[in-house]
Amino acid sequence: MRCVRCQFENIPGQARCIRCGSVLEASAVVVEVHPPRMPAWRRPWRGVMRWLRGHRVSVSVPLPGTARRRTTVTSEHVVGLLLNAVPGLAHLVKGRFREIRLYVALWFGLLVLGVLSYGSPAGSLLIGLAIGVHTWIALHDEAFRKITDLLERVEVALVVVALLTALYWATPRVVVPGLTGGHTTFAIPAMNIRAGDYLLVRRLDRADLALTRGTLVLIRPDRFRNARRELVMDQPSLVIGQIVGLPGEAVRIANRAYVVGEQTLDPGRFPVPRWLQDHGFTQGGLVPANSYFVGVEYTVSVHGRAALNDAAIREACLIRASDVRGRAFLRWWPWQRRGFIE
Amino acid sequence: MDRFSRLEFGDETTPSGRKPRGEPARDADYYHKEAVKYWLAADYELALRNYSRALEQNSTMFEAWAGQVLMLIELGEYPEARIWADKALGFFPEHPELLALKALACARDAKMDQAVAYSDNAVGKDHLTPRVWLVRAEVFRERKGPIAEGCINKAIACAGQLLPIVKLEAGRVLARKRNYVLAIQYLKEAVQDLPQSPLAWYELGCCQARLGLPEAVHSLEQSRHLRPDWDLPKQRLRKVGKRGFFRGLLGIWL
Repeated sequence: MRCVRCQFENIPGQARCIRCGSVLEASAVVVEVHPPRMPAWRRPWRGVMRWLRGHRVSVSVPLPGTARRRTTVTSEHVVGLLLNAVPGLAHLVKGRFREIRLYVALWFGLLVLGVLSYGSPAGSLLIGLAIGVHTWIALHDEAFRKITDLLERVEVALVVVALLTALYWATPRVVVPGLTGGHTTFAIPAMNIRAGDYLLVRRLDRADLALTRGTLVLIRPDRFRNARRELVMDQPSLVIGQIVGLPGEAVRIANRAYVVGEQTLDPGRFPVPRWLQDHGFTQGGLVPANSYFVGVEYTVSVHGRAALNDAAIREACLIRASDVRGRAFLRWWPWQRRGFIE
Repeated sequence: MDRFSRLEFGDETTPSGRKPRGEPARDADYYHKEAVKYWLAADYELALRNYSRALEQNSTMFEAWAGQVLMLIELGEYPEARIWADKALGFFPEHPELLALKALACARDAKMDQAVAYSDNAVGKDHLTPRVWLVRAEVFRERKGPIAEGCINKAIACAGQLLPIVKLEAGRVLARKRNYVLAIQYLKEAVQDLPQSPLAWYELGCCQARLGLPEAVHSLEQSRHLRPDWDLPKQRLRKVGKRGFFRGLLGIWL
C-alpha cells in the first residue's frame, strides 16, 4: 500500500506507514469526521481581536499573583518621539514613508483646513483631528510598534497625545511670536465686525501703550470678575473690547451713545454694549492715568441687574494698561469677512 | 444495432463498451468531487459537508482532511481550522500541506509569527504540494521583494493536474497582496480552465473592479449567472455601478 504522505510502498495489511506513520487503512481507526464549528456570536469578538493583532496589539491578562511586564523607556523611544514631532519624518528616515504617506497627506489637509477655520468650532475640531492623525502616525513608528500590550499602547497613546497637544499649542507661539487671538462680544457695524468674530491680535510691548480711540484690544478683565463675581455670568478670561476713553478723559453715556468730554461719539463706530445701555452710565467718570475705558459686552446676572451701579461699571470698564494684551488687526473668522481692520 | 443488443447477459458493460447510465456510486471520491465543485462555487458550507461525507466513507482520504481545514479557513473559523489541522496531523504526521494550512489559518488570524514558523516547517519537508508554496506566498505577502511571486511560480511548477485551481488560488493570493495586474493574468487563465466556477469569475471581477476596468461588470455578471443565490457578486456589481468620479480618481483606496 502506497503512503499518501511519503509515497512509501508498505506491506499490505499495515495500519500505518512504516516510514512516516500516516494512516493507511480506513478500518484501522474510527474517527469523528465533523469538525468543530464557531458559534456565530463569537465572530465579531474574534474580528476585533484579529484587528488588534493585525495592528500588533496584544491583550494579555497577567496570571494571578504575577505582575504585568512593563516596557522600559529606551533611547529608541525618545529618538522616535523627537523624530515624530514632524509627521512622517521618522518613517522617512527609516525608508518607510510609503506606509504612511496617505496619513501624512490627511494630516496636512486637516491642519491647513483647521488653521484656515481657526476660531470656529469646526477649526478646533479639525486641529484636534490633525493631532489624532499625527498620533496615529507616531504610534506606527517602529519604536512604538514594538510595544504590543494593549494597556501599554493606550498609555503611550495618551502620552503622545498630551505631548503633541503641547507642541501644537507652543509651535505658533514660537514660529509667530506675539500673535494671538480672541472673540468679539458685540457688533461694530462701521468696522464690519459682528459678535463672535475671531480676530487676530498682535501682542503689545510694554513701551507701546499709546493706543488710540476706537482701537480693538485684547484685555483680561479679571478684576471685574474677581471683585463682582455675582454681577456677571460666564465672563471670559480674555476678550476683545473697544477703547472708548483715553487717560484723563471723562466718559459717560447719554441717549445710548458715548459722550467723551462734550463730544458725542458715533454709535456706528462706537456702539454702546447692551448691558451699559440697560443700566445707564449717566454720571460717568474720569479715566485715570495708565488706564483706558474699554467697551465690552458682559452678560449681567439677575442679581446684577438690581445691584449694578456706576461704581461697578467704572470698575468693569476701566482697564489698566498692563491688562491690555494686544491690538486686533485682522478679522480671521468667518472667512467671508476675512480682512484687515481699519 | 443488431437484434440482440438490448438483451441482458449479466454483464455490466454494453456491447459498445459504455457503462450503464444511472446514479453514480456515492463513495468517497464522489463526495470529494462534489466538495471541490461546491468550493469552486464558493459554497464553503456545502463543500465542508461533502468533505465530511467523504471522510465518513473513507477516513484515510487525505484530500478530504485537507479540504475540511481549507473550508474552515474560507469560512473564517481559524481557531477551529487549527484544531482540525492538528487532528489531521495525528493521522498524517508532519504532512507539509497540513502544516501549510495551519500556517494559513494563523496568517489569516493575524498570528504572523506562528504562521511563519509553520510555513518554514512545511517548506522543510519532502514531497511539497502546491498549497505549501501558495500559503508561503500569502504568509510573506507583506514582505518587500519578489518572495510571493517566486513562491507562486514554484506552486505552478509543481501543480500538475491541479494547475487551474492553483492558478485560481495564485490569483487570489496576489489580489490579497493588491497586485491586481498580475492577479488578473492568473485569474483569466483560471477562468479559461474553469469556466463554470463562480468563484473564479468573482475574483476576476473584483480585481478588474479595483483597477476600474469595465470588464468587471461582465465577470461579475458571469459569476452571478453561474450562482444566482450568491450575494457577493450582486453587492459588488452595485458598487461598480455606483463608481463615481472621485472613486475613479482615488482608484484602489476606495
